[in-house]
Amino acid sequence: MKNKVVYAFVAIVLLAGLVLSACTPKPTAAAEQKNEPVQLKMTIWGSSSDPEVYRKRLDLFEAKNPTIKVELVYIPSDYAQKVQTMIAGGTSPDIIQLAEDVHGYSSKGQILPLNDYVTKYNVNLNERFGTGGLVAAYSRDGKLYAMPDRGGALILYYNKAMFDAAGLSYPTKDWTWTEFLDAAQKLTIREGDQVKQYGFAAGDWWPWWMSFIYQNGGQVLDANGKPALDTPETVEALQFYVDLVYKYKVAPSPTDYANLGTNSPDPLFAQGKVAMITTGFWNVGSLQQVPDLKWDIAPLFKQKKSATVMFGSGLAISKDSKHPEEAFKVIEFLTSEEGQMPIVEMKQDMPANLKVLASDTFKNTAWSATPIRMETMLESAQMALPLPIAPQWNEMQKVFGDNLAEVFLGKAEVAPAVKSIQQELEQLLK
Amino acid sequence: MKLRAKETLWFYLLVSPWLVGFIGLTLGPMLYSFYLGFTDWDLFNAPRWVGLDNFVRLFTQDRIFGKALLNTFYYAGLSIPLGLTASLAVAWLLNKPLAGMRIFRTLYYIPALVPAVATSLIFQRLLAPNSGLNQLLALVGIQGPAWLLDPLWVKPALVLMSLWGVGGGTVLLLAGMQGVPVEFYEAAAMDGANQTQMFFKITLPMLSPVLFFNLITGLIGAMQTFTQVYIMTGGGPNNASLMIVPYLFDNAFRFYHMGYASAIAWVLFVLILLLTLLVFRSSSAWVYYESEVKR
Repeated sequence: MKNKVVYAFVAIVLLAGLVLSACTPKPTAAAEQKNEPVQLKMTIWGSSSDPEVYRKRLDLFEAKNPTIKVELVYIPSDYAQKVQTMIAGGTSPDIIQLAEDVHGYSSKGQILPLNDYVTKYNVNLNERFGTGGLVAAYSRDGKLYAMPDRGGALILYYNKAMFDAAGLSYPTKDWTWTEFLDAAQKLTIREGDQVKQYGFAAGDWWPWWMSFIYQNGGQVLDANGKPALDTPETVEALQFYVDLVYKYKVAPSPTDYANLGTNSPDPLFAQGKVAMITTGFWNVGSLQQVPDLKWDIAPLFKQKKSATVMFGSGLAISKDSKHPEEAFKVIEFLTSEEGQMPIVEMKQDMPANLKVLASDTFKNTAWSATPIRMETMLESAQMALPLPIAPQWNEMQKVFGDNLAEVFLGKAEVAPAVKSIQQELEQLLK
Repeated sequence: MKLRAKETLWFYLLVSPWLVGFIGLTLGPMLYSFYLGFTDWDLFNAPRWVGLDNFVRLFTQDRIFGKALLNTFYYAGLSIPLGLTASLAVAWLLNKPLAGMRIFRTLYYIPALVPAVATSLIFQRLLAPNSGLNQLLALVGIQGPAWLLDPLWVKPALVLMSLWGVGGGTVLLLAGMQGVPVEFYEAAAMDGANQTQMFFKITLPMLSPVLFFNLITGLIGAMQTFTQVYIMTGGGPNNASLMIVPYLFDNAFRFYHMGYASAIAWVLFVLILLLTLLVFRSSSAWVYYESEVKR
């Protein structure tokens, strides 16, 4: 009997050994040799062609800074979950690509404020990225938490052939909703009860409807970050947005989308079923693969004022980074003119650096099958609306989605939904 | 070393991989999540003890959790009985001695092998307002709803989809049917029993252990529904198809409320435990085992 106890004990010790051996000790900073280059880790998301661009930019940096090496970790899906797991598991990346959820990290103290480094390295944020827009979005309580890196604005794509066929002049940034609606109506072609061609197409993605709210002088959060949605301006804007689908019938409803087998306007535009859509600069790349399509881009239309959404992404530094200063050097370079150029040269996206946006390299579109009016991007960057992002960004998305679902299905009134969003946001952000 | 002691050592050694897995990957995380259920934890900073706050909020303030709970009961309450009936009916048909029966059996089982993600994507198309199912309904003059986009019809649509996968339960029932001794039917036939009587008096009681098993696994599966909702509707429109596990997932991995999500997990665990116990309790009244003598 006694033996049993002894052997049980032995077994437990063996077990413990197994468990402990699985946890190998992490190399400590002290163990690193002085003359070896500093190793940094950087996480990015994106499509399969994106890592190549980042690598090119990092190579440029490493050529100038041989004492710093950056390892690129490409996470194609479930980015946030995986980055969180890395942080929680003690293998945090030094540099993290972030977008609208930046304050989900900043509010938990996961990423460092960059202001001291910005001052120390004499970076002129206004000159580099402009006022408002992304710098404001990535700041909280006066502290900047990410350097804007890619700065795509929501822009208008239009099918030139359809505009020509309807005898319409092309959209400009001076268009108001009146001209926009007029064009959309003339561009919608029906055959019986079937719509052959839609004038416009959007949906429930926040940049689509939010840009209308700000154009009409409404806002989601005020300058102090308090919900300020429940205004006649917001209701009027959303009503107009819904009317495009159900009253004027110039845009597809969720039901139409389901029937068309997609939930995005982008493929419909590429297939020549829609005359106007609003989306990011990335769509330029996919449209290159549709050679027969004649299209161009323009800044969004306006109503009481011009407004568009800047989404892009920024680069932040983890608080767990053992080399935050080196990490800042990296992101400072990546957001400089030189570090941003590959974004343009490799046709990846819109750079956040305004000088690059204004550069001839950016405006030169010889690579494109059809000429593109690249000035659109700089003009759009100048009409960026202050993004209403808070640490609870993802929960805000659910509040919007839940309350607007039936409005966008044409089954609920706008005003009560707006009131309900306002109340739920107040509850959430208090 | 004595043989007996040696054997004991080998026993622990050989089961240790499983024990490590169980303790490290199941029991440990479970106990940890039990603790987390009483905390506010954002995944990064230290968990903050909040006592029963999470549970109080779940049951008194969280309107969305209430909706998810009701939706889950709605879905389980419809899909389990329908699924059991359908799988029984299909098994009964597939038990007929017809030529080519093997092909039919294969065909009926295949859907159960298709991953839930693929099934969801197929059904997203089939349930589109003007395609698939609604075209069939139009043939008999019914104008079908927009299924996944209609708050009223999205849950029935998910139930309908669950019936596509009854093949798994069917296979077990079919095996059970073939295990019923032929003598029973012969004896019943001699006594003048008809097909219906034989089915209800012989087949059904003899199958009750399999039905019992299908009911328990079906119950647990339905309460834990995730993939279909996550892929097809995202819980929408306006949470009309939101269920407990997708809501748990949102709280844990989108909103970073790990403590709250752990509380939901434990509420779900207790709920499933109670329901399963209830079914077990009831089983003595309707499940018959061959060795058992009914009093």
